Amino acid sequence: MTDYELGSLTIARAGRLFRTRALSPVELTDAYLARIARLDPTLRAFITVTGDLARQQARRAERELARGRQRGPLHGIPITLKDLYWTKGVRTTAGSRILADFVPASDATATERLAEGGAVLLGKTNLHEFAAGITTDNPHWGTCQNPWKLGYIPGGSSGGSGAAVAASLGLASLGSDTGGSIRIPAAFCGIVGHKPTYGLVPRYGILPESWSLDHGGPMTRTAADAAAVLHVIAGHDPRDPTSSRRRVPAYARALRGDLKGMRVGVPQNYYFDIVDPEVERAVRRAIETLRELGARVVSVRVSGVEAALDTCFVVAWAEAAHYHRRWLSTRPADYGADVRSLLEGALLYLASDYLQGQRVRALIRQSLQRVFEQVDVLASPAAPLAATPIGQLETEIRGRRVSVLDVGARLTCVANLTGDPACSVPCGFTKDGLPIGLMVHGRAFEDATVLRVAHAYEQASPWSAHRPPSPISP
Amino acid sequence: MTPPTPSPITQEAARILAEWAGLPAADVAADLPAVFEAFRDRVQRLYAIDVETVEFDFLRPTE
Repeated sequence: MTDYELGSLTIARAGRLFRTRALSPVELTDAYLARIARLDPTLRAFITVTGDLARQQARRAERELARGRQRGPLHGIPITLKDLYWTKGVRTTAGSRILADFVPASDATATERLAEGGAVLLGKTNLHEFAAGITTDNPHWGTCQNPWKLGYIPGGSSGGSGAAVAASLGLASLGSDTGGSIRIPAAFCGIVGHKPTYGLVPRYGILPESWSLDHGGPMTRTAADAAAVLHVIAGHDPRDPTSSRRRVPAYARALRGDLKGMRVGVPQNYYFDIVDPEVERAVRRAIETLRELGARVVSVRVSGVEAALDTCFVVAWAEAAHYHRRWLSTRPADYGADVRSLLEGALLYLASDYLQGQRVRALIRQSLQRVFEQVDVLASPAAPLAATPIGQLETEIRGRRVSVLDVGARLTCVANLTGDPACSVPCGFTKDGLPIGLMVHGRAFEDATVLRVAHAYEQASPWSAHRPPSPISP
Repeated sequence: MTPPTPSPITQEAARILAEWAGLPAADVAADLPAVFEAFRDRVQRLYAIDVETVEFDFLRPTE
């Protein structure tokens, strides 16, 4: 396959080509592995490439498809996993030195379900160390690059997954999202990233950052592909005590409806207060497109949401510090400087601080529930800014100096606090050619509605057809 | 321009706090005083919010 053909492929299209025998899983897998070998020394999107396993899974898929056995939409589809998902017999590092040699004895639920669905695992992707940051500037496994502009961050913490999907190094990836770690790299890399409802995708075998905020979910080229992956990985697993017992709807079918009568809320407070002007213009144009598609655009106020970032920060880091406590006392030098400082700082939080955070979180959740009595979804920027240069910890937005970490996560973190589904879908580019993401945030367990809005927007806009410059060169 | 206010948390105070929290006291990061202070500022902003109306719901069902 040529680079151009790989670049225009989606899960749905690859499935059609498999069915007509115009393409085989082995041929597609080999093409991706060759492209990974060529581009990843520059991009550093992977920690481990599982070439032998991928070829073995692809051959099996090819045999099964030839015999007429159909496992579903991911049968024979090459994918990647953030290196936070357990993979039986394949090291799972969490992007850390501490777990550099950790080889799980079993698969994560999601890994297992992808394999049962016939997916082909190309490799494990790079991430911010222990998923504890948004740059994927990883001191142990290499600094991941943004395929749209080398020297810029891909976002994080699922930055390797975002870069891999954007650079056509696999058709989908699974990321994890504690304060925006699926949606921020999706926005920065110009792909779709969906954070499902809390409890929808079992977290058994996903190394934790923060138990009450962590979510696993798909990162793909299109909303339809995200729906296909979500359908495979969602559903109850008793090994995860937070896993929901709800029936998993047919997400792909739910994409077919139009937006007539859909109430789209546009927040009048907080969400557009600190936003790069180019990002704001692109997002407001996208909201206008939703209106043209039949949605009713409604102004709303989300009271108390101004405390979202502080709340998410306190809750996430207090939980993370608890998880890391043993290693912080026995192996502090094995952490990267930024992650170590934040974890050590969080060890000083009092139980009272954590409980204050959880109670403010409850207020924010109640506030969002009231908003969702008036509207079906909220539309806003996913991130208030586009990707920033690697190593730059602060930036300027409308004359104000802001921390890249704080401003990057200030909008996405709201849906982590509430557990609601939220999706980032490409909605334009800055004049420097960096992607911008529109975030659609919906009610708990209405992932289908969120994906339907993302899909309808994507169909009416040109952005998902754009690809990073190729060949990628400095 | 006003010069930055010196941190009330000295390196020695940070070392003692770190030891109290279970960290190896001889090996604390140089920026720990600043980190402790930033974390405290964030928590103080949360304490400014009235949460008296909130019943704590640790065991909320996910359904």
